[in-house]
Amino acid sequence: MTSDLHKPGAALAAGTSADPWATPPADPDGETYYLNMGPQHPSMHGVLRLLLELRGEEIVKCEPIIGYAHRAHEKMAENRNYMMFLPNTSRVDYLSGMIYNIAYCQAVEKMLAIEVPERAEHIRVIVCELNRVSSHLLWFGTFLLDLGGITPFLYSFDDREQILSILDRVTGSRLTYCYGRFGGVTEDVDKKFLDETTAFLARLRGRMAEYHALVTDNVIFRSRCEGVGVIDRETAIEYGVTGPTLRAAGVPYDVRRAEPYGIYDRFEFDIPTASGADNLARYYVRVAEMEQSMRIIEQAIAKIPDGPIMPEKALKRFKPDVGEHYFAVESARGQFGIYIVSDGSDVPFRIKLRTPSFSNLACMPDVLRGTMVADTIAILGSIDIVLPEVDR
Amino acid sequence: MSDDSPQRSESLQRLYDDKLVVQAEVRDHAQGGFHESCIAAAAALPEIAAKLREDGFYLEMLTCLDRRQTGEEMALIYTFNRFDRAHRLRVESPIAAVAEWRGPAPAPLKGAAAKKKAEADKAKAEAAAARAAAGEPDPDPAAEGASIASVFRSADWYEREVYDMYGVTFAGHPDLKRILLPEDADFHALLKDFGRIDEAETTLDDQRPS
Repeated sequence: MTSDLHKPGAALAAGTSADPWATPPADPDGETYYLNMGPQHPSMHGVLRLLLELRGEEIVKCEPIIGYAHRAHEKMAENRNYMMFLPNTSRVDYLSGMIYNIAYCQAVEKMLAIEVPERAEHIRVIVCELNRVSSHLLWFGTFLLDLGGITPFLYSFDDREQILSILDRVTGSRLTYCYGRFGGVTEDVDKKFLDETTAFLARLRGRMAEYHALVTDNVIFRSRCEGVGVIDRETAIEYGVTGPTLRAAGVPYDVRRAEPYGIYDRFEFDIPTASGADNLARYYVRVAEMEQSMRIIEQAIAKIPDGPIMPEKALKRFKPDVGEHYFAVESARGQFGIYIVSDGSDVPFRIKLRTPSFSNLACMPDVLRGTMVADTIAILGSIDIVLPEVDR
Repeated sequence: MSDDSPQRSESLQRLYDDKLVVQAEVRDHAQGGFHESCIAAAAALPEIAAKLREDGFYLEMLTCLDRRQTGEEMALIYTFNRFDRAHRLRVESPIAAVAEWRGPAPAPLKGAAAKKKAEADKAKAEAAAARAAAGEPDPDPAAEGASIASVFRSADWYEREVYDMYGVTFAGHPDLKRILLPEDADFHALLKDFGRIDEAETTLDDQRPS
């Protein structure tokens, strides 16, 4: 039964060591059994398959099996010019697509040494942080849904919908934005956009108080979260875990601070951390991050200057010099890195997308060992994975 | 290699002194996003990774480059970084071609471009010869990578991805199998001679209703 579940393909022919599932474990009392969780499962956040070896409710071994949403974005990048790859970027992570889209623009701008007008820089910060808040709001709702609480989901999706409408008006899309251009953004924002955003922030501040009252001190919520799913600093280094999951282990690493990009060095904001490294710590960090994002948006709205949103000379076809560039940004889930290699033509030689969830998910076999099946759902929910981003 | 400024970090200097890496250079982070860069033989990677781990680095990314079309070797690109401060260290490791190139030959260069290319090649060859003469030869392309999954467990999935996409194998990997592509796939998708758009059977134009 074991080896048929997951046939190891051509790799074993390459002469490497044994498939961990090839030999059935000693099972004298016949209590061990296997469970395929996913890929079609409502709490797998997409199409993740977890192959679990169980003794009763306890997980003995877990193997995440990914690739069900692989869309070959990196191969596509090598088959079209830099401009044509723009719409792909927000599809990599459709929940914080704006951050990915703008990050790709910034990476190419860095290669070509393009100056971005001040107004465009401020707009980028506002839309990216709005996108981060909307991504965290979705996580908030679905995480609580994973834990069995349906009401918070209705609240947070209501708030998230406000953000999507605001962004929809200026970008033309609700999720898969293609708003960035090399050198700026496509459309200028108007006063209505800024007013709506300000009004939304005021509204969300009130709602955050409600969220805290509804969830943070809820006894059932806390007992599902406290001490469950510990991902500590050592595990994070071992697996390259970044983002809120890392900060919940007490490491104040945020790319916006560590390697400031765009104009993030001009804003005042804190990097929330927590010490528990468990589900509850990750909850605290994300909720605190939404408030920091609101702070950044307010500062950007106060400071936004008038002026152009694109450089005077628009870029059409271009050929970057031979070379390689690594550009990292803080997405809603951790460090998103773009590694671009140019061979001097108008088509990228290689674009590697270092997506945060790929590393954050890789630690699951270690984290889930010894936990209960019901906690699996809670832990996966708390690290906020997006499978299309893992699979690319 | 001259030991001129800017100063290498202690970690890189240690790797250099232990003769694990060559061409250890400081790069401009504002320019390309890397703080430092070096080249290492594939077999040295586990030791390099262990030393970097001691120094507080984590494995940020691992990928591969397929440069067979221009007759160069393939290369594994590792980047290591730190959580306490940004320090992106790039380690390149040459790998021999996993298969013969079956795509088209590179477009011949003409005029100034050909001259520029010839000059660059000559300078590169001279620099390599100078390094060899100074007792610091460039590492030969290895037949396969050496797994660092026992040092950084994140390498487990990254190495599987490189194997999946490029067919490069890693000695000592605990369970090297496909990760993103179907397990019965008979190709390595990111090799440059696989799935070229000029080989596609249909184009978008063909599919358009006439």
